[in-house]
Amino acid sequence: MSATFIIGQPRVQDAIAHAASSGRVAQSYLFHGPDGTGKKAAALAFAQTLLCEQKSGHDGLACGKCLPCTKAQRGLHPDIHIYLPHPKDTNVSKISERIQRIFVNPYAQVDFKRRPSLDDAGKTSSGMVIYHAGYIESIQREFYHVPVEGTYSIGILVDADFIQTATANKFLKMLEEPPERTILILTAERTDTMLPTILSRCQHVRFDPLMPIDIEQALIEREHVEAQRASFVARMADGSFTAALELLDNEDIGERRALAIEYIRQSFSKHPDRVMPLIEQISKLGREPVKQLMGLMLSWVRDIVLFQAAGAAASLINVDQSEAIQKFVAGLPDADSASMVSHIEAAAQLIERNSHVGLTLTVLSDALSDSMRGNDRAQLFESLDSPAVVMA
Amino acid sequence: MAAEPSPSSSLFPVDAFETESTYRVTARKYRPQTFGDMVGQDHVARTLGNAIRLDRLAHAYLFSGPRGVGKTTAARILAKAVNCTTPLDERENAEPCRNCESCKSFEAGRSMNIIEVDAASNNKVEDIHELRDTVRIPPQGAKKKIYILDEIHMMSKGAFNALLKTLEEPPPYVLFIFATTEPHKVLPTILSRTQRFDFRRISVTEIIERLREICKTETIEADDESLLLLARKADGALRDAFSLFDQSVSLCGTPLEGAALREALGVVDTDLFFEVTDRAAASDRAGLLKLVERLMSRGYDLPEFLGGLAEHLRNLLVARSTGKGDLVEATEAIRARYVETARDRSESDLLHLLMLVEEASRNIRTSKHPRLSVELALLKIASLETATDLEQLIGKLNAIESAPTQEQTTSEPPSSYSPELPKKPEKPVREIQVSKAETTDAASEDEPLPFSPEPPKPSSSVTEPLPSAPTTSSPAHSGLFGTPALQITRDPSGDGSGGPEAALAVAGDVAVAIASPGNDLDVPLGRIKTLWPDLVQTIKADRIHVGTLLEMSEPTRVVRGSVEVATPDDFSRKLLESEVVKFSSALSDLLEDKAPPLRFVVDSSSNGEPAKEVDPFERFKQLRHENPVIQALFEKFGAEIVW
Repeated sequence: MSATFIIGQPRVQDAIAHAASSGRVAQSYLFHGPDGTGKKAAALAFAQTLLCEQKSGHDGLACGKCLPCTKAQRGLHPDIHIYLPHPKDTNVSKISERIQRIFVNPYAQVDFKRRPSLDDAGKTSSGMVIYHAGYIESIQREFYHVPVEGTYSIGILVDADFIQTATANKFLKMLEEPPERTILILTAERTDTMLPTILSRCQHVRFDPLMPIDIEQALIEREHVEAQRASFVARMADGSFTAALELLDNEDIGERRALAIEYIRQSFSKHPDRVMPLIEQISKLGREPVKQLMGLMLSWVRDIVLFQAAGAAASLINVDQSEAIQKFVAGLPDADSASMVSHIEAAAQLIERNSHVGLTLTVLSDALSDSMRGNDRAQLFESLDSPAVVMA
Repeated sequence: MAAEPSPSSSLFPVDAFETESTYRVTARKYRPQTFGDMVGQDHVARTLGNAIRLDRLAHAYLFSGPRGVGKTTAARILAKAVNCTTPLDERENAEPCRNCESCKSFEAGRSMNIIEVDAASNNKVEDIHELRDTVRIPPQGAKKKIYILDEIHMMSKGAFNALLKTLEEPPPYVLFIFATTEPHKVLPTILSRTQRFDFRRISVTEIIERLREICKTETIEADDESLLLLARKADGALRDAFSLFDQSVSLCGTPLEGAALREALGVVDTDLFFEVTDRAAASDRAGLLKLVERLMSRGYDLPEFLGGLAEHLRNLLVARSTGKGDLVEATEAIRARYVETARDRSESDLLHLLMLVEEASRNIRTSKHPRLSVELALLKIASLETATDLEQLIGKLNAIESAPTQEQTTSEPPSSYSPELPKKPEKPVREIQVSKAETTDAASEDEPLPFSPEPPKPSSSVTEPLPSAPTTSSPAHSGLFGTPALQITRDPSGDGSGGPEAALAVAGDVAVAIASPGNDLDVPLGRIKTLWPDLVQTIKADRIHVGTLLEMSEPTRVVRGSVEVATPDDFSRKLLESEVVKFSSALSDLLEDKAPPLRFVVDSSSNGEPAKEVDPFERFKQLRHENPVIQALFEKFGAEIVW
């Protein structure tokens, strides 16, 4: 790993280099931005740069050749600590296995929540993935040791938004006035769920969704993907290199998308004979793939929105499907894409909350067909505590 | 390094490790050491100073307020001031002297008598028991033993209760200071035993002042705009301002400049917001989408953008309501621009936009596809802006209703009313589509899915017809372009058989009356019958819908010198009657003679009962069913029947 492993994010790279070279290193950083945009990569690069003896690399980043650098790259540096939220009673070796994987490729999906098993992408787990109080306490204890080798002791707390409020409060004092030469780097997808008292104590570094072109290049250079596939995957990845890698693993992404479109199409027909087999097929895929499928539906609806507004000039995600999109827009001028989006999003949330996949898809199908005809309903489903239901 | 190995006493006294070489964040480096240094909390500083001076200290204080306004700092200063050994007369407002042994030892983090506890980490009953044990031991060589319990709101209920007795009647040498951001989580029994101080948010000017001082000491140059930006983004918290300041210096380097800073902090330029509202006003949907594209490529944070947009709309609203820009937090030039722009907007529209933006900001937090949420919100805004026309439209409808003259009722084909309806531009297309569907539907057994990539496979076309939308299954008005809009607009508001139709009938009679009555035998009914198709063609060339109606009618007999023409229904009769002058002249041309007057009657044999005899509700239901325009009125504007 060298600092140039950060894909895109020129602003972030500048900030890191600047902080390291000027010596204005704050005690705590918060790297926030969408999943897969390189927060872990940047955190590691930053840590390496701080520990590097030369800082002679590109733009004053780590040289990649000195002893601390090589140690950092192999994940052996004793002053770089990575922490992951995990389900209770997870074996320590399981955690370190994932941490090693981060060192190999910081863009890899190692999250316990999205990837409960490293070997099997489809497996799901019900364990709560958070920073448990005991874990935070042990992290705090660890930091009252002096750096072993280098100038700084660096802690990277991955997905710090998984620290629950009670635990986060324990962390405040440490974050405000950490021991000397200790640097904490928190990464988080969203900051609005975090305590304002945590946010106020950190320097924020924002990560933007990656540009498709950057993802495409990285795919070609690092993963040796052929150009055409790289370009397709890059557009589908929605600004996340992690998503792009997962899409690569997923040979049948094209198939999935075809399935998503077919589902929407048959939903319009309102024909149980045709919709039900599809729903059954989709339900069998498992929870994570269904969520992915809904992501694909959204990207398709987004294309429709773009096409409705901008016509052929729109920059579509599913360029190869432009004909189908054109037909849709021409054939269904009534289609209320806004409500389609809100229905799909609501369904995705239901799936996230463990509702029955088949049922959700059935209800969604019905709602979508209404939306496509322009007879909108306000919500995907009437919640049990809504006034209308209570009255009935 | 003198750090305690356990987090249980996690305080790292302020300057304990200060060495020349290490960088320290501004918030820590410039943490106030005296009451006088504190920013924006004069009410607290003064009261506490007086309490010390007059020896009226309470035994427990609770400092509450938002993050980063100086609660912990005040607690530490108070502790220092109380234990300061310099005589009170020599200290102005009881400030700690920072010279005596007590002050020095605290600042160096080795005071035995000031104990700072992280109550969030030590929140269990056992921790409080431990604390109670140490409370019994009097201070060593100082006046008071002071406990600072920070983040007190995280203490468990048991812990709070265990503390109650000690808190109510502690030994005389003990002083408790609690600090918290969430006083509502503290038990009322605790609250009532403490003196509470609420810390204020710090105003923008105060933050700017403080930042300016720091710039001076740090020899960092910064222009006014950048300081304003930092202060506003800090949202009332000085620590946030300092964090942002550090961040900006490490991102942009020095000197700090407004434009570069805006870029670095991802603050969206005001110009962009004006562009949004302008494009929205012009319903430039494609332009808005491009704008989102631009936002993304320039790396702006979308929630931030929506927040800014809401603020922008609020500014417009304020400028619109007050007619002045005084309440807009911006530079003079921008204020003037707000006032200028706001003039063309209506308040209700702005409010509506604001609501849409708020809704979008809520959605975006949970959205899987935030960009899509923003795009949809902007598109909604663009289509909503046309709602300004609603009033005009209502005015027009009223005008039509109150003056149903012949010209108005006849001159417009129904579909041409659609553009005036405040709907999305694609709606008129839809109506035409529907009428096409009406004519073609019967032929197609299986409705092909409109966006199929290929025509439906033969295997699927054998199935029974799809349950299609109601609009596509009404044969009643086939060939009629649907029911005309005018009749519809009249119907829901008044008696269907009322005034306007009566007026029409009168007009028809007048037309008949004008024509000279002649002998029935003089009228060449046979010729007219043969020429009828030609007449239809002539009229059709001019107005196709009138021609079509004419085609369905036929001249039947001669009554008192005028030709009676049978029409299929009452509606056609009225429409044709209003065009009677045109028919006469066309017929005269064809006959090469003066045409006899035409009289239109409803052909009772081909048509059932006239529509007006139906129950108005039933009729309305039917109309709603058949006509997309009425349906749209219902759905979009919540139309109601007013009988």
